Amino acid sequence: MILLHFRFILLQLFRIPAFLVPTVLFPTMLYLFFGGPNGGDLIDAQFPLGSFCVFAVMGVAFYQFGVGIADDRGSPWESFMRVLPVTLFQRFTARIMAAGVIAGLAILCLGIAGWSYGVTFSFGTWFGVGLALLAGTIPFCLFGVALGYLAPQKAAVPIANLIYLPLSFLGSVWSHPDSLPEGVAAFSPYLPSRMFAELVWAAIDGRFNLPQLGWLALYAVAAFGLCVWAYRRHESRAYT
Amino acid sequence: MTQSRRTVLEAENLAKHFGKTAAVNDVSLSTKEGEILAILGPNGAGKTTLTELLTGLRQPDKGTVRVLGDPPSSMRARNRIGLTPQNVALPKTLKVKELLPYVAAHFDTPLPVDLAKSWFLLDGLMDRNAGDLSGGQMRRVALAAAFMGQPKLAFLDEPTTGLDIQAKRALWKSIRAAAHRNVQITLTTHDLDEVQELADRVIVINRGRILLEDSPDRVRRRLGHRRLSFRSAPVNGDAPFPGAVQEAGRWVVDVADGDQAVRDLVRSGVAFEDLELAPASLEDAILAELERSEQADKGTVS
Repeated sequence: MILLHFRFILLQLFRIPAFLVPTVLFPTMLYLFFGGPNGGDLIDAQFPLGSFCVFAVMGVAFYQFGVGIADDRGSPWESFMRVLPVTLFQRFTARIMAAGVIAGLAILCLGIAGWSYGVTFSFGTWFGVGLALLAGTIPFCLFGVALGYLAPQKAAVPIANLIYLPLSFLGSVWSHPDSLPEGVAAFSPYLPSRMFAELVWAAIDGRFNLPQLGWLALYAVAAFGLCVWAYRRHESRAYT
Repeated sequence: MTQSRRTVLEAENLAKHFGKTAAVNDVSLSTKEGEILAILGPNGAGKTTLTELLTGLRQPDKGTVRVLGDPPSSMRARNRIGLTPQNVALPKTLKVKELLPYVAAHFDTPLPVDLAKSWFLLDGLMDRNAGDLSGGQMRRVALAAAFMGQPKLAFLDEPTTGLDIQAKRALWKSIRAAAHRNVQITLTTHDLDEVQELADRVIVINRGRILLEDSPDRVRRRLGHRRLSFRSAPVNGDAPFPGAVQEAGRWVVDVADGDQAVRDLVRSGVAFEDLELAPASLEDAILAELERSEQADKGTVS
């Protein structure tokens, strides 16, 4: 049942260029314009590539979960789906798997773009970066789910953009932390996006950044709480 | 020999409030396999909320629902329920030939897609994206989707709204055929013709309460009012026909027996012109029935 839903979510997503192109290609485009040319030597250039991987994965979390769930909620088709013999867990697992595929594609595009600038990771580094991306994305996926249950269908995209883009800039995902404006630099280290980026930078450096992982876990707990509250609020309004 | 039919749906004392408004108020009903039950009522009467309670989409404040002995939200019950929601919206990017097998794959004993195609007139639609279909075509696909699991009971919320009469008749045939295969069907509709054509039993609800429960013929007789309208001068300052009121320069009155009303009008000698006799709206007929039942209640009390 999970595979059935996974297949159909992907089938639908791949037929919506308006979703696929921005989610998969936008981070690569930004990297090609801003990340790649400002990379410096090979070692320095690896960090922007890692940062844009963070940007790509955050985007998938906000769009696939936030916008996707808000879209489903607003559609009468959801009533039909809720009467079918499939559990919410099965549908949600399928959604996570589909998000993984989209995120994988976005990272593949970034890898190719990095390679075009001569920036590559060893297999071991890719593995470490992959694990860091997987762990760091959890609070963002949960924030995405909360957004999906809170935002009205038509407002989900602008709200996702309003959170995702500033969070990326303020978290130093698009640029080196030293180049952030002074005021921003002061609070940037406390943002989840910055912590996520630092987790990936550490992985590129061959290190494991336990404090940042701990902070991200706290963000994840907060996001999970928000998520449960938003889900219950939605269920009580729409279905009880 | 009469074969006893199983009870498939049982609801007892269902109540659902939204704030202070009672959307469903102390409704009990049960249905048997192969039976077609029509739920009639004006907009806002509580038909959709009642359907949502019966399908497990909403939880009642009070009362219970059982589908073949199970709560409607249980997996066992969901394996036996088919639904066409009132507002049909299919996943836009899926082709019909992908959508129906997708729905079918949820069930233990699905309906073969080719059968669904012929029963619900989907020839020529299978290769089209659901998002490119017209409202009527979408409704046919939604109806097919409701039957993909070979359900024991199907809830069809205004299943033929927006269809031309030819498509309506063909789909009525398919719905009747499903009932002959022992599927219990609950229809909610505004269409008295649909009720007459399909239903074995009718429930009329208003303000969340069951107002009337009877056979389609009897309900039609009680609710099938006619609207008589004509132009005429007032007679001695009064309406030229008992109960008639003026609307846009015409005298208008809802009557139970249109033929008799015309005979009475002619006999009264009123000089009328441009006479029209048309079916009264269901809403008007139900409101009239409601008024009558309220007056009867008052009469009983006093």
